[in-house]
Amino acid sequence: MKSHAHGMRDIARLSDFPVADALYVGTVRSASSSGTIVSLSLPHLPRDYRSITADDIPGSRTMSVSGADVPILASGSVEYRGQPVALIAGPDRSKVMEAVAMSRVRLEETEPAYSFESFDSSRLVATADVETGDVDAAVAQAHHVVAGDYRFCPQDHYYPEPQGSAAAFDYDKLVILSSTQWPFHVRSSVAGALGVSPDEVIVRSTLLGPHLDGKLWYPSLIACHAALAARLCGRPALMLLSRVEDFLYTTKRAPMIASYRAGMDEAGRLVALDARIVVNMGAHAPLAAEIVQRIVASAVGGYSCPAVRVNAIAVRTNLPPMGAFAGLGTGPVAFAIERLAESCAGSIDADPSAWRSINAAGKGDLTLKAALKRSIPYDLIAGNLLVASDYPRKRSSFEVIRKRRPDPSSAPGFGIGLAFGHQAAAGTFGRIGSDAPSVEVTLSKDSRLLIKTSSVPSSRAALEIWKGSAALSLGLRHDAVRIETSCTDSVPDSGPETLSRNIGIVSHLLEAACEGLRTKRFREALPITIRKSQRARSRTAAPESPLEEASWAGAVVELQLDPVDGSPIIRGIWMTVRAGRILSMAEATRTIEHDAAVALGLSIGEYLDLSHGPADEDSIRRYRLPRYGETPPIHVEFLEDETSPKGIGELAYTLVPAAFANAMSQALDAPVNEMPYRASQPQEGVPR
Amino acid sequence: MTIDFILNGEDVSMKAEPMERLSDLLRDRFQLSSLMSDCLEGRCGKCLVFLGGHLVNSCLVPAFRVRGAEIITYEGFKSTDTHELVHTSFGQEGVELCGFCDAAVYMAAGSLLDAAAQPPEDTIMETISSVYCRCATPSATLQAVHTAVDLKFGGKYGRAR
Repeated sequence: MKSHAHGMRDIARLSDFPVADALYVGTVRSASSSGTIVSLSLPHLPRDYRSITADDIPGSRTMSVSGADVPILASGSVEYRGQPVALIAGPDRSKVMEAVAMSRVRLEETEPAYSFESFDSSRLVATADVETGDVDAAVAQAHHVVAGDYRFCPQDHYYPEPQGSAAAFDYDKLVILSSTQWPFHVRSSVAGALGVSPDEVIVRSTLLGPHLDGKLWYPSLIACHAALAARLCGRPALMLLSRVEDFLYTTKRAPMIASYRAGMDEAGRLVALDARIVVNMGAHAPLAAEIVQRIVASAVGGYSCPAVRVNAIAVRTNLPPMGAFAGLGTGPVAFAIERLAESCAGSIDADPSAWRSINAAGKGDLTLKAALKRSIPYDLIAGNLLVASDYPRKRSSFEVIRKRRPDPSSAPGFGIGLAFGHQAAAGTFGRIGSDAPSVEVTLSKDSRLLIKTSSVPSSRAALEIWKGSAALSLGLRHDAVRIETSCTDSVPDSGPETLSRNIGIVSHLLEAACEGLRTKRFREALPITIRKSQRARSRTAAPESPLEEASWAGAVVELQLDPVDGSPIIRGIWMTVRAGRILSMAEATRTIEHDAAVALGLSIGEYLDLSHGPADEDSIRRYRLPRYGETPPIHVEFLEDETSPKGIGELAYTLVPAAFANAMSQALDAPVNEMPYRASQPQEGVPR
Repeated sequence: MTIDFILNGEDVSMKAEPMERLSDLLRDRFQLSSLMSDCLEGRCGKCLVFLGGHLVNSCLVPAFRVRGAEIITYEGFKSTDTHELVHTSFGQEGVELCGFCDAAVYMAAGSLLDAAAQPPEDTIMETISSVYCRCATPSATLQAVHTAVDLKFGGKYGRAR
């Protein structure tokens, strides 16, 4: 095989892939959500064009995503509308798309299942539980019992470039260009599909942009398609989905329904918490096991309760595969527990902050079975946040307006909401086989440092932070440090770029590697290379609470309702964060500010209803993206904390929707228990 | 049909179907990679160009409309003093864009600086809001645009620099 991969090293974005000698790959998709394939009719293709079906796959027909098997091309049956059934590759994009449009997949259709509110056991794909104490007895004896159902709808990641991949042979190696968070997953998937060794596949990452975890595993599927076309046609191949295809057929935030029941004593302390959380994972249910585990670990928030029963269930449906969205399921569950906290405080007429303070878990707390080593820092965070936002005074004023408004049939119109929560450590997610996340550093004779990692931060600032801390640690000039991230044949596997692993894992490994270099550099001859890998936690080690090593934050959202159309006008967002040592205050502040602005948009306009079936082209037009002018002032503060740096990338996505819903509930004097908020959504208790 | 127009200061000619999208033509025929063909409905603003001096979404412009017109894409805009000013302001405010929307945001900001007088706040907001990208930290981007406007028009008192 000769080389077609010249110049691929310089391509930053997939849309810049040179198409002159390349084939364009289009996807023939199932038009129905469920059924058995009866026939596939493809148009007569001219020379230089070819079709590819599952029978043409030389290796494995499925790829593995955290334990789930995802078909590379459907054969036999289809599980969702838009599932790839065949590929058409050819030199002219418009002719390829014409051929795709003329192709027909005939199915013997079966009844599709979209609902996850009721389901039979055959659709249950993963469960996770935690149970401490006698919940039923505790609820029976509780002075106050509060219950609620909380819903989080699917949402689109709307990353800046739709999913895509390019593939070309460089002599005996297949080079894949992929905009992926997880280059080594792309490598193993492509190698599996082609039936070759992973060493024969090189994955180069292209620009990611803000992905909200939408480019975790799906790029591997697209890369398999591009790789099959390149292999079977012997020419470079490019597959780049249109925005519409991407919106309709790729992964979305997994929708969730959480039903909570809380029992409290006379003083408002939690004595029982019972939760059943069902999450819709769509077809094939990738990441289901990981998501239910993380939901269970986050379902109680940072609160203490002697009797807890949490049951998380992942259900497979005939919607496109659902999954990660700015974390793995913790955002929706934080919304649920923080709405519940607000209702609990309301039911005993307590101040929501005071309620959180008396219920925050202390050192040694056993709510999640393993004893907490440190108290949850609610009072520390609230002390700062409440002053900065003037929450107590504003809330009291808005309560007066709510309670004394002359016309109870109208909404009070003013609200301020508080939310408190955490971002758990990355843990062991993303290990492939026995590979542990690794970082390699080499100090050369001319005092230059080369850092190699496959973790691809979506911001250049993160790379600068790593360079800065390595330079500082070894007393080097900033420009003497170079980071190589882009290629699987030259960098070690650092795992997927998600769950703030850049800070949580890669920064730690980098720090340790530089420390190793420091001790060796004057004892051994240069160059010195040190490789650090994350050690797996011993199975025999004492159990550790999932809240250990978490970063914590509080958020306040203040709003008022537009007197004409009742839509929310956001007056301000405040966030106080405690996340260990901050490596760059400017970058960390900007990250939280950015995330809070995006999270606010996700709370208000980005609504996608898949309860009656998959999205159609009108859904993308109705999906309202926030604009610059709609962003309120956002105030961010970090508390001093000299513990090791922790992730902050999910905090705003977790807390802003909850704080917004709490503010809206006060402004409407009715519970807002569904996210994102729609002005037309029915509110319980709102007088008609 | 054959369409003659001025592209980034040069006379060019191309054969195209009358209703072909300008964004596709500029990318495919002239290899102008700054234009992102994203939503194709004028929502995302990532294919902004100057058409006859006005900022437009090129995905919404049919080929026949550009006959005899002057088009400036980011590739042409990059060599102007206005771009230099925008670039300086964004750098000064530490704004980092994602690599997909940079060209469109810079062009939108540049369009504000080409006006005869200092643009009012709602014009600034409306123009910058014509580009959608999740990468933006709105306050930082707006601050950078205000800095550029101040550099060009001499601050809020309208004094020239």
